[in-house]
Amino acid sequence: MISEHLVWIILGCMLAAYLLAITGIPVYLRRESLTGDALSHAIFPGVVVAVLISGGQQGWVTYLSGIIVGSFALFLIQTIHQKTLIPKDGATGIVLILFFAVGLLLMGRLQRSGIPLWGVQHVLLGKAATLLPSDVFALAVLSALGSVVFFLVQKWIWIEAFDSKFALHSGLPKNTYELLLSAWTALVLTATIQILGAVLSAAMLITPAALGHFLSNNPKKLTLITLVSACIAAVLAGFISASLPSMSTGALTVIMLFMLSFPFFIFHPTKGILMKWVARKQEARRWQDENTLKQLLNQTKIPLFSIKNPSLQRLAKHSFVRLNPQGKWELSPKGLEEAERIVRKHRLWETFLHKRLMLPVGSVHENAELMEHLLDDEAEERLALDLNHPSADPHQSPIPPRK
Amino acid sequence: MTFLILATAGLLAVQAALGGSFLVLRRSAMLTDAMAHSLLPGLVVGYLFSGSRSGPEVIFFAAVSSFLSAYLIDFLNKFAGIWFEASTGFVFTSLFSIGIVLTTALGGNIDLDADCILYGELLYVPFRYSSTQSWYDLLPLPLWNQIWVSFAWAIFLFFKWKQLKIWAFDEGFCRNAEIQHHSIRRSTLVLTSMSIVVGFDAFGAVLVVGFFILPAATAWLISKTYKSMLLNSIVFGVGSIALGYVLALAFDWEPGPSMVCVAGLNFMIAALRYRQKKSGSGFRPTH
Amino acid sequence: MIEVKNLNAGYGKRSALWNIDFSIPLPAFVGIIGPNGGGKSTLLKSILGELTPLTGSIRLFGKPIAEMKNRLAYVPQINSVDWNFPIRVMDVVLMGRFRPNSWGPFYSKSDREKAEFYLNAVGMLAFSKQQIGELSGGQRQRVFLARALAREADVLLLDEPLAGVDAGSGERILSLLSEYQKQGRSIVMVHHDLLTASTLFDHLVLLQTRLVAAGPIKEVFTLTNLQTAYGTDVSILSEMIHKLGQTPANLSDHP
Repeated sequence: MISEHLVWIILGCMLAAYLLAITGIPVYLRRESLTGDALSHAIFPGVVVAVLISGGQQGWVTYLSGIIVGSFALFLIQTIHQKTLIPKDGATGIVLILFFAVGLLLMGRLQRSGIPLWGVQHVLLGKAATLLPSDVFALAVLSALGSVVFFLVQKWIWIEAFDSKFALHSGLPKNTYELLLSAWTALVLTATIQILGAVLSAAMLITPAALGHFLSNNPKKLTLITLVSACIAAVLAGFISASLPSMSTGALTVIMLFMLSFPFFIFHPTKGILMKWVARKQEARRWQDENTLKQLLNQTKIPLFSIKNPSLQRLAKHSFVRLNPQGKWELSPKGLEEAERIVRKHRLWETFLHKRLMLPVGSVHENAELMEHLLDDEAEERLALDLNHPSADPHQSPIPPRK
Repeated sequence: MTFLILATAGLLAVQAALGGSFLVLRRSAMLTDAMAHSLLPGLVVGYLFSGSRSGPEVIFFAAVSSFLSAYLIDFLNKFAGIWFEASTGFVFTSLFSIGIVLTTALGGNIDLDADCILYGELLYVPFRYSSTQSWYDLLPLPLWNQIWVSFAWAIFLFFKWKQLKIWAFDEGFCRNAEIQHHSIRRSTLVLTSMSIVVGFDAFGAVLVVGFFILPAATAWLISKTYKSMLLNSIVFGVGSIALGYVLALAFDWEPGPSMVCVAGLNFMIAALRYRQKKSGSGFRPTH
Repeated sequence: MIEVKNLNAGYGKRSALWNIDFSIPLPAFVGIIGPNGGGKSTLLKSILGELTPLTGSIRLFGKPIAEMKNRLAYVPQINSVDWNFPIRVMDVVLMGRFRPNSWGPFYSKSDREKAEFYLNAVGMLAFSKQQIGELSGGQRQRVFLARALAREADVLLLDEPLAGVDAGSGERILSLLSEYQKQGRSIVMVHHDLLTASTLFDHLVLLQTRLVAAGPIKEVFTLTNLQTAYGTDVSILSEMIHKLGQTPANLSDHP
């Protein structure tokens, strides 16, 4: 089912994705993801001009033109942002749309004068279908080069992105670095815009790095996740487009990447949005249950608890409470121990506030109502030690001893 | 006929100037680009419902899709901790790709191609009339759409002018002045997405984004008050439309890009003069 | 009367204020002083309603502060506005006249007159047509003060209004605030300079994460209290206490 032609396409897309992903890491870290998007649109007139000049579509003329136009675009963004009151995102947007419009204008002229150029849709979607082995070879060379350079200067990339002044003082030739990074990004985008199209190239520049950062703060892990996710997405997209030939491979790659990333953003066990929400709810329930245990200990509110109280249901499930023969809720031995622990924390804290911070007796209770849930066992021990194991709190209520 | 085209484009320029001024001032210029890309899946869904390419269903779903993208970007930024630039890029490229794939999946059934997306059908505006056999047929559909949305903007601006200005300048003061800044932002985004969609239908993505950003930025460079900035951006927008159209006819250019290029040239001139003025007086703009 | 009961407030789970309890009769000129990080800005933001307290309540004129927003005006320490925004000085002050029930794009004639009046009071009327970014730091601060004054609120809250302001502007601002307060309004101000504090305020809240003391200045501004809060060199403190007994006019060598 898989023709040789398709193999070249999948390989080409994978290399393009890899190349964009690895270039995307410094771009992402410098918080210039949208500048990358602008660049991918700004390169377009460069490619058109190259075609105008050379009559064909490939070759070093295209790359050179792309680098020149791309670097000029970045220079313009900087200048507008620094020399006028237009803020950075405004400058980025201006350059993006202006260059792109110029490109469209030129392309219109080209089409009218009959020079065969790829159609408008290729600007958006790329033309993965007509990928030649020579294109793939070029991508492979760039990928290899990029990888080598990246791994050599990885430390600098992180330092410069985090604190460029520090990098400057540590000896990084900042202007050269920025120039090289700009030229390289322009080069990479020139190569890939013809395969994936402008918008989709930008996507591959941004999303893999964002996923990598979301999952890890460790530079090595971040890099690995970025590169692997980009390749997986591209390969999957390649196979899918094998069965659906009219689909844009580039668009499929982005969708694969989306389907890879979005679930992480939502469902990741600790950082995922859903999980954070669940954790908050669980925490709220813990507080509520601890308060319920305290109330049972004080024997003050039992008649008010209905059988259906959800907090009691949860406590019963874990055997902290049970129904006594009279049909009322009472603490099990396990529950008694837990309730006393909470009360101990509450009263220890009150003692601390009163003795150490000199707060008046009338003021300590409300704060202790909060802190009793936040103090862990270690904090409790240290408090007791610091206060010399007091037996009663400022209200003269006894502090339950540690079990 | 020319009049109809220019009227439709002119109204777009007006709306884009109004919405764009806020967005550019609040550093949300790239959001316009993101919202323009994000409308695509909604467009396709609307097409599935209505069968035609510019029925009200299409406009509605596209606007919803565009509007929601802004909130999705914020959502990922605030709750997943994803950096704002990356979140913007992630959301709009993903939505755009979904739209592209949906378009292809519907095969030839959907009458949408890249030409439409980029250029819209500016020159076909005078031919797109509705067929309701009523007074509605007097003007082309796209022009009617522009009129309604412009009207909505006018009402919003008239009643909420003060709140808008305060919110745009000093969001922190809003709480003290008891202005509901969430609702103001929401209203601005709703109107913006409507403008984007209605403008996209007539002119394609390039023109829409260009006219949201360029005239407003140009006006910012030369205006001292907010009111004058809005007026100036409207003048620049309409002027670019007119001049761009003339040039396109004269040199056989595509009208859409031609208009944006004129607006861009306008900006460059203003930027250079701004530089001259500032370096002359020895004053550095604060950032 | 401003009443603060049992206030615990902070950012996230960190408490910046512990168990603050005080009440001060209004009108008054209240100073919030204390060492850095002591919770002064936090207290101000809590009174404003910008921070929700972890425990406790704040009441103004007998009602919860949430209902009293229209009686408060605020001048923050740092303004996070875009100084390139196309807005003129007069427009900024006019914002102070905004009321929730005002609709339409125009301010009334009396609003404009009041805005002019307060702009003049801070000495910036000559700049009314200038774009806000063209002013110096001290001048901008005066404009934002004029905006807050224009609200004609019963209680004016200021967070270190003299920070980053040159001495001349600073003195003008202080005398303006004194005047404003004497008209029957109240001022609650976070202040860092103990020297001027001793003569400016009639009530004081001394904070060091918890309340060290609050009340009329003579009761609060004592050596013991200041030592508890600042824990500093006794000689400086005693000199300041001594100055309390002197008349303000003797501060001629104050720059």
